[in-house]
Amino acid sequence: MSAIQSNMVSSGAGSSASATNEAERRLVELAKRNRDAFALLYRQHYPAIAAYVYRRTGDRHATEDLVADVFVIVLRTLARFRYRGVPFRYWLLRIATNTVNRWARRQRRRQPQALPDDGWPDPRTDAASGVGGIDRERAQSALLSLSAKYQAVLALHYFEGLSVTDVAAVIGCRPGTVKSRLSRARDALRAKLEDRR
Amino acid sequence: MPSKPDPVEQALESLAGRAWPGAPHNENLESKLMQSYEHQNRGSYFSRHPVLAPTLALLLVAGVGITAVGAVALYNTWFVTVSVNGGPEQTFEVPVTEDGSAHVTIPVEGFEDGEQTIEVCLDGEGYDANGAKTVSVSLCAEEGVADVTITPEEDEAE
Repeated sequence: MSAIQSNMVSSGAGSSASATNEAERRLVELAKRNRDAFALLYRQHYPAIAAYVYRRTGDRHATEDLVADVFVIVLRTLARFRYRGVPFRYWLLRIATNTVNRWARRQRRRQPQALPDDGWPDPRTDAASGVGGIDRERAQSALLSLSAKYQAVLALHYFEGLSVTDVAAVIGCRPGTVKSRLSRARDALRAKLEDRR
Repeated sequence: MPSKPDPVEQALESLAGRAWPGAPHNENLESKLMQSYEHQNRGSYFSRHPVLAPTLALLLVAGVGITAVGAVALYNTWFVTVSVNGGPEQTFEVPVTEDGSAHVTIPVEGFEDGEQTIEVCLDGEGYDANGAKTVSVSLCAEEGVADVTITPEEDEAE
């Protein structure tokens, strides 16, 4: 592992983005046949994927289960991954998005208006510590009541900071579709927030 | 006089600031993944050489407005045949995502976007009489639901 890590650091710490991309590409290719490289890839990306899933679900236990599902899919399908000019992270986000979307659809069918059940409150992320007049619990509840595809575009754009073009690359549609979906998602979220006043 | 803050912006900002409260990685998961990695690398020839597995797939899905009639797959591309409102079948070449699904964006009249994306998932694998690997696929649906209802997006969010 250490040899791989040092190799990646020396390759990826350069100033140019292309050097970093090349280092990532090499790590991904190596991970297809080298267990330690896969472990490094997992450790590099676990925190970001967990954060993305957590922001969407608001539930720590569900997040741990879903992130496990994501990486099992990654392990099973990595051999088929091909670089096509988009970061490896976007491929992971696509798998995570599809995984959370399936979970969200199940949740909506079971408990359409349920609040997230986070049994592990964290002082840094306490539900009461929202912004302005909106507490996080209410915001999370409103988000989870939207359709999965609306949740996805909102999360990728506003939580992950992806541009419209990058969101389109992640979810596999046209930028124009993302734009219109974002607009509708915001309108739907506004309506849900007003319902919960 | 300051303008009233936008509740949508507030909500999104509130959720975006939520940090992952768990560990930076999960040791148990890593251990299981490593075991699976070892097991997988002892797997079949085809699983390690998917490029040698040209596939034929049938897609049997009845939708209210859109019917995915069939799909022929060659490695990481599926040629999916779709019928809209019982009209003529249209074939689309779509890349298969690495999680074993494909997104087919099809033109649909009467929608604001003028198009609708459906997701197609891998159901199972097998071999045909010639020994070629085959896959069966269907519209991605939860809990065995095989139908898809395409409705305008505004309605879905209600």
